[in-house]
Amino acid sequence: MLLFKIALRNVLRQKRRTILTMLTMGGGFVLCAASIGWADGAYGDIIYSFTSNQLGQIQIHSEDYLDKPTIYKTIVDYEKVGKQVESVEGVKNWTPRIYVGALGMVNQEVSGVQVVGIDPLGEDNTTNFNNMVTEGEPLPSMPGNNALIGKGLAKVIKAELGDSLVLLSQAADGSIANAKYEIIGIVESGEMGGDRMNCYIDIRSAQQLFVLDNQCHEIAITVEDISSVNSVTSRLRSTVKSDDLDIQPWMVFAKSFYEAMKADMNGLWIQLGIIILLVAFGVLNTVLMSVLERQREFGLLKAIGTKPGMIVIQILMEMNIIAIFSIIGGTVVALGLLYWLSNYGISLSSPMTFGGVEIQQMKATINLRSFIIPLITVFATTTVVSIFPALKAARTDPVKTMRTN
Amino acid sequence: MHKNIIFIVFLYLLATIGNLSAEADIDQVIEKIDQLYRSNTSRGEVEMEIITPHWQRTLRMDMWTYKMEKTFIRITSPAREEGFATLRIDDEMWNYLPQTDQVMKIPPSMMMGSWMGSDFTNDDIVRESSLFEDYDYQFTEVENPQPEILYIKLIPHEDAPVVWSEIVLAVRESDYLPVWEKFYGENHELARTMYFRDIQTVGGKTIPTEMELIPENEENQKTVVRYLHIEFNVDIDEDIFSLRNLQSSQ
Repeated sequence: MLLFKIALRNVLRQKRRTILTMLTMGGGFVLCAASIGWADGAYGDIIYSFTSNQLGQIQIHSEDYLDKPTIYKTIVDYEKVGKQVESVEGVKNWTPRIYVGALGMVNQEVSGVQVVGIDPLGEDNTTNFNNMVTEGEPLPSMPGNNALIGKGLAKVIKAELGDSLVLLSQAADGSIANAKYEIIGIVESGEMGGDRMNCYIDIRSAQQLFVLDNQCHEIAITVEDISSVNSVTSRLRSTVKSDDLDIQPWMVFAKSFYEAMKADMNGLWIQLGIIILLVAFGVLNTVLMSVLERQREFGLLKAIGTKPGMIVIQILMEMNIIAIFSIIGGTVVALGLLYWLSNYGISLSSPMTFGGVEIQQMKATINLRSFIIPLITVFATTTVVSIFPALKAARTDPVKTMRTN
Repeated sequence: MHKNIIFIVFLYLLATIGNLSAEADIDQVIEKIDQLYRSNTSRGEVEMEIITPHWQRTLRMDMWTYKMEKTFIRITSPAREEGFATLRIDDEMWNYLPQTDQVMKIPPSMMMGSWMGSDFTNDDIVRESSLFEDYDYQFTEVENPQPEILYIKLIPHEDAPVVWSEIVLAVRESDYLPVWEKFYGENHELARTMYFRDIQTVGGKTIPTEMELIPENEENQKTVVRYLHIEFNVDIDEDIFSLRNLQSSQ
């Protein structure tokens, strides 16, 4: 307690220097906290919109469908698998899909298309699919001769609402799959590759057309909490016990997206490292100054019998007192900044695309790690940087310093 | 001196004659192959058996050809495909889809796609390239050659409308009928092999009536085509090769 009192008094002795040091530490803390919070927010948004819009956070396929997709690699009796999926804790929704390549024709314009068979209700519950139907109507809940097509595809084959879409492909039994649909809506998912290729029909129509009774190619699953994807995936794996099925989180089936995101995140850590380094130099400067100008004082302390360890502790305490106040101040500022960023965000003048997802606005998130990581870093840096000047002070030779000064 | 010159001229003549006969030989082979299934007109019935690891089916179809420019095919069985028709005029191709009563023109980008799920591509059906005109050819050697078989390597001309980098053809020395034909892709790897079998005299021509096409990149998959019946140089109403006929049911 006595040591603390002395340390506090020492800190207050050089007010201007203390304030400057606090500004350095606090500034570093705020920058780190804000960067992490903002990055987490932006990445979380990107991941959420990337996965929730279409992919889902977890997908089930037949073994090696992802490596080499063909019409034959199906999930058999998918309703049963779906029931099992539903029973797993943390699963929000699931929806089945069929994917088959085909030739699509509208008014004599022909193009290669990807036919996606969807369950209109399940798809909308899982991925808010109907929100992506920007023109016309979504698919009705009962199967009929209705189709939706991607906006880019509509452009390619010059299709408009009400036009007939003729599909030609091959069914799973080798026979010709040929049917005619009325285009009742245009889909704009924000994912350009898909919008240029996809047309959507009811999964029951697709099963009939492609002779895939009670089968689908993919089950997309959304989870309650996006950060629990991995634990839900392992629970799914133990519940849906089947060697023929492959259950993967988005980090696997959207690998390139995940890798790009990880690389981006690494860039952020490097940036934070530089900020911390600058803080460290500032702190080092302060400690060295205060130790050097107090040589005589330390000499006196030692002369009256202070143990060297006490001097080390006292100096570390001085610096950490400054750190505590900087962090308290920094937390207040960072909290305010993140609160503002998370509510209003920063609008991008031209939308940025990441992994095919368009981002118009970047918003921060407020989470514990935005504060914990900088807090630990600031304390650790302060202590590490102060320890050598403190040791030097502890080794002061009382006779020498008192004589020269 | 004189004697020497005469001798040299004699040698030269010999060499030329030798060359000439060899070239004439190979030209004849290539022309024979080119004309094997072609004539002014033809009308026939064909069976196509498609075998894949997932399914197996047999299609029957009627087929008409006019010179090298036009082909018309109509599927007669099985029931689900009955009435499906393909019309080809020069390098354009249309399919008639009976289930939706639609005519679909096949875009150029789909020419390498499968025809009716078989190992034949749309391009194979419309192909009008001629071995004689579009390729350079020479006799070649292969591993494990068979007796009385000639082997010919064909390299397409640069501007030829051909997707293969090279074709190796095996023909019988006796009657120049083909035994097999190996097609090599862009990287000079074997892409597929066609075997010719069951030589018969039909419609006044002696031809292999069964062809088996085996792709390299698909396991346990092949397509076998059999001529059940064929007539050459018969009178054919040219209206058969029209979009109107394509759309009209039989």
